[in-house]
Amino acid sequence: MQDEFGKDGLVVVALSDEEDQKVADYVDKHGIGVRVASGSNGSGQYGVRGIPASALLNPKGEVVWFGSPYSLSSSKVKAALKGAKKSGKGGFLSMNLDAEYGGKLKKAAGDAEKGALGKALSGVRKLLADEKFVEKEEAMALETEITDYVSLLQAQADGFLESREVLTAQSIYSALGDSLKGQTEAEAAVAAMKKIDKDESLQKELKAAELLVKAQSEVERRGKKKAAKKFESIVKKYSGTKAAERAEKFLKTL
Amino acid sequence: MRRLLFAAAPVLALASIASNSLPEGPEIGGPAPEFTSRTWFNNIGETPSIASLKGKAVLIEFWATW
Repeated sequence: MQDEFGKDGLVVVALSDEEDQKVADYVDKHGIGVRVASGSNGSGQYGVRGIPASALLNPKGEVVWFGSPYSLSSSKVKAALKGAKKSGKGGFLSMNLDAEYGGKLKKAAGDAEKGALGKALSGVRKLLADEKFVEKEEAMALETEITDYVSLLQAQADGFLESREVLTAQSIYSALGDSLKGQTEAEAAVAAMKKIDKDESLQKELKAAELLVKAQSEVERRGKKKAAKKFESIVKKYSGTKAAERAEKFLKTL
Repeated sequence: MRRLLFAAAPVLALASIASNSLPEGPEIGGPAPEFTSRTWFNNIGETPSIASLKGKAVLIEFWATW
């Protein structure tokens, strides 16, 4: 569902009430691509009595359907998507602003929502520097919302790097670096990417992760058994990497 | 006969309450209940919540590893 309707504005979240490690292991083993939560109170909140169950919400935050995931049709999902904010090119850079910004700030706010964070910051900062512009407080609030979000993404990337998810970390740094070009906030992302480039063990993790992505696509194309060789190769040549760990977990499920 | 009927009445009443047991699922058409979670996997950006996901259509899947 996420693959099919993601660009149309659907977000899939999978909630489990179980502990972190159990969920983490499962996600690793099965290569689950959607956002997954552990330790969630969701099933209690939604009156779930039998698992699996799903709830479909419209963009207004209203429940439009609840039931077994096997009985959820595409047409129901399409109906729920009416009026949904589509995923712009910004991807995870796209912001959900807390406040509504009007007047001259509307453009910068729109840029931030589309994920053009550097453009948005540049716009806000121009207004802040303009003597004739009076809504300085609103502008500072928007600037803070954006820089806070950048800090969040930077921290997430740093966290991924620390747990050797180098490919994910790099994709975040790269997106930040591109989006924030011209603003000082780009520096941290650019520095992190340089660090990854120069570090041999991080390069090894990166290469192994890229091969793992290829191996996972192979599973979709040719099935688990035929793709197994690719996973075995990662375990052999890139032992010690996070990707090799995942590859081993996958091979155990065969 | 009357005595039996009087005895049966409360039992029947209980039986009907038991079968109309607690409703399953949220109110359709109502606001989606907010939820909390400890850790997120495969999430980049804001922590997903009903509030942060407004404007999007959301499919919540309730699952477990077993």
